Amino acid sequence: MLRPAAAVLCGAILAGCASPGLTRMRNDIARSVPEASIGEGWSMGFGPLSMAVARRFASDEAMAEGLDLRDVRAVRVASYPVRGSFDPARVSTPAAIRRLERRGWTVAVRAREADSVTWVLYRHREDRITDLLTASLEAEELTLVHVSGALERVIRGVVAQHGIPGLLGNRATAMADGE
Amino acid sequence: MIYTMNRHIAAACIAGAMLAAAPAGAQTFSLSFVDDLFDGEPVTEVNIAGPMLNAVADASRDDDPEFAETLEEVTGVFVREYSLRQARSGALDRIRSLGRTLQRDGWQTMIRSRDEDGETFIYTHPQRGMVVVTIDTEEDEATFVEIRGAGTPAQLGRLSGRLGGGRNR
Repeated sequence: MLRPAAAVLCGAILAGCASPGLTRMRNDIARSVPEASIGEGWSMGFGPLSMAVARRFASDEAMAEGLDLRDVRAVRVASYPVRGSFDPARVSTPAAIRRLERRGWTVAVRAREADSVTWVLYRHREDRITDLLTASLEAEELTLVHVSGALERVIRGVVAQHGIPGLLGNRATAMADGE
Repeated sequence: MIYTMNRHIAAACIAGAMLAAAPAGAQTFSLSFVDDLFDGEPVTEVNIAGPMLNAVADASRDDDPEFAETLEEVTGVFVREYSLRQARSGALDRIRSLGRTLQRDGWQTMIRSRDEDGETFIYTHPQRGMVVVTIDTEEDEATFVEIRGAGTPAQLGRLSGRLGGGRNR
């Protein structure tokens, strides 16, 4: 018999499972890489109820990662298999991302590596970062993550925990450092 | 599943915090004309400003108060990195002559350097901040960095170095 806590957990998780925006984004990204095939994959959503359950069961683990789940209102995650090769340099920004820009999101990052492309967007309301969305297209997987809430403290915690990696090129860094 | 969720939240927040951007419109890259010098989109585009910059400053306050203090003088950090293979005809000449354009707007050339690995140009403005342009022939890339704000060149240089995470060669 399913234990009550597990039943509540499953119910809470299933309660937030619709991710139509991510599906549309997946379709738009698929159109940006016609040489590869992006499969159906899976998606899951954690709404306010699910997050309450997650806070109950995973707060300590999250805090160890620098995350304070009290500030996270909802999370949607989707992952899709990618088959076939593509050239990241030739992947243009998908229509879905341009659409979000028109709706007030800011594209914070477009980064092309040897075998991947990543977009990071966020939306803010005055001084509050309310949404963060990452789309990471890699050789074998497309991952979409949308986090919403009051994210400044979450971001502060993660930066404090993990530090700030390099943003600038080597030459710029060295010269600005006076080396 | 919860572990997976935590991992994804952490990944999203790390990526956003390190790489995130400013309010659209109010805080945008001043050197957007460089987009016309290259075919296609930049290899890397980064915009840090507004509440994200504040979050990074706050996160650094305990470990590196000087860095946090410098960040408070800065209103934005913007980076564009292109492959030189994307450069259109005449692009490098226009990049090298960028100093003349900036000087007309009150910028000063702080460093102009050329060596076997490429060229570096650093421009400063007392109110508007610092622009660093590098042409790296070894890595085959051109990088444009704008640190917007009223910090001193020394502060902005330290900030640039801190964000760069150290020299790899």
